Amino acid sequence: MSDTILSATALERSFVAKQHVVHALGPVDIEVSRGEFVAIVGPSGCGKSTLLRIVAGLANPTAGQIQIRRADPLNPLCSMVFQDYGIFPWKTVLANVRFPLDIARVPRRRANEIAREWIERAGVQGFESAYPATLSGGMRQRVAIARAFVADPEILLMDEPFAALDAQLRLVLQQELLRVWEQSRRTVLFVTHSIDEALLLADRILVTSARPGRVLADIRVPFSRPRTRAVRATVEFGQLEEQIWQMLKGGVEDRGSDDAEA
Amino acid sequence: MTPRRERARDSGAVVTVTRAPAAVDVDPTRYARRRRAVGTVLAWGTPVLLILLWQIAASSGWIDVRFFPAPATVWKAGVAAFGNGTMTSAAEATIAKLLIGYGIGVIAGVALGLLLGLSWIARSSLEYTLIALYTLPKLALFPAFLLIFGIGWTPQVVLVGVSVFFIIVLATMTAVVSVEAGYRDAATVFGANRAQLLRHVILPAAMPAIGTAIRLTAGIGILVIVGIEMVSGSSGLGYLIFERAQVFDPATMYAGVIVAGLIGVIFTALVTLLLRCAIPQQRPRLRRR
Repeated sequence: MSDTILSATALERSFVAKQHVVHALGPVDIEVSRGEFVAIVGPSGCGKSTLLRIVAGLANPTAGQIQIRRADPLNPLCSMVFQDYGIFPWKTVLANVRFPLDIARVPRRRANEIAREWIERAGVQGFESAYPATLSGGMRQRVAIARAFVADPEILLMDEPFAALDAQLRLVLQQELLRVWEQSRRTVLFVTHSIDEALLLADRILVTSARPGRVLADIRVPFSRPRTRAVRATVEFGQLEEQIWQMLKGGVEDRGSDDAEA
Repeated sequence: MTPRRERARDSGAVVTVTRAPAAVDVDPTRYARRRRAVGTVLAWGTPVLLILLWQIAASSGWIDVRFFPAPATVWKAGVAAFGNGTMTSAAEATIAKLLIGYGIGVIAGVALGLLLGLSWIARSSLEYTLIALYTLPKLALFPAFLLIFGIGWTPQVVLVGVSVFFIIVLATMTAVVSVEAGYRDAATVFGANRAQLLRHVILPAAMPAIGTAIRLTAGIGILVIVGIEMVSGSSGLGYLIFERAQVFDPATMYAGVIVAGLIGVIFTALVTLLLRCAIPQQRPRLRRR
């Protein structure tokens, strides 16, 4: 698994906001192997989302670069699960999940077939013709996940996908994501605030500092796959959680209440 | 509300607040059905009542029937005008001019509005010019239209089109510019090209705001066409209304006014219905209880 899919070198991004320059990210150097589930954990405003947006091609770095090695140039490169605004309110569940296939001009019948498969895997079957407004937050996020997988991308980007959900639903969807991901492993970059979520899902955790975001630590998660909720009860889990928390604590406390709103 | 509570506290009495199901909670379907029925009765009842009052006032001599003929008289005049074809051809002319002018105005307006919304070059070069033209009273341009397009339908159709066009352009442009960036991003990530972005995201996302402009301008279109027919040309309901007033035939005049009003109601309703099909995210949905 030393097949590198993504390597960022001296990557930086700054924003110009009302005359002064905000240095949001970097410089960071990151290497990600094909099929690896990488979680990025850090305080708010540390440029985690910016990193994902650069990988997705939605933003450019202001210095440094990212190189992505594609296995199959015909496949879509990235797909992304957003925290909100992800799925389109004017499309039915089926049309939303089918969207990447429509963009790729897959014939309608075949596209519907594949979309239905993923709808089932994501646990939203029976709601194919419903509009998002009639769905609960959890259902909508399942649709977003199904849509991200349907594209069959080389890199799956997830930007705090469960942040807007309640605690119980988060547990359920984390479990579901594990199940779906373990069936068809692909490279994932998963941004989260939750150390616990990162430990449960990822192979590797990048802990980042407060702005400008830098990689403080690159931690390999030792738990075997397939993984379940049960790993939370292990001693190692607690130790790792504490270790990461100690690293983050300084940055979070400095920022005080600023952190809570994001 | 407060005084009563104050009193209760003063007297030291124990106040029980009760939260119990109301009629709507006990049988929502029946409640909804009843509400719909009452709504329909009220919607039709108001005009019927007004006409009835008008009839009574006219037949009992409270109002001068030379200026305010009784509804029955207006009805008879209307039937006669439909019978000899004057009302029919007037209504047909008005509807035809309205449909052509409004249709062209809406289509051209949405098209240019999309272009302005999507391209900042187009927006930068045209936005303020369009706003300047928008604030110009269109009626002041009518003599120019007469000179350019001659007499007949064309200048009137153009006036309707122009009146509708500017509102639609500016509304569409604003709607496109304010589409949430998150929706664009979601489409971009999946590799949508410009045409796909427009079809799958920009147009449907902007449609509710564009729809509002389309609905409002339907009424404006009718106002403009009937108004301009009064001052120019010799066809349509506006002309009929004005001409009948001049020969002192108020009954037919009122009949014309009522037909114009009905066309307005039906036209707006049709536009609303069409828009409802075009905007799935706004379709009325079941309320969760």
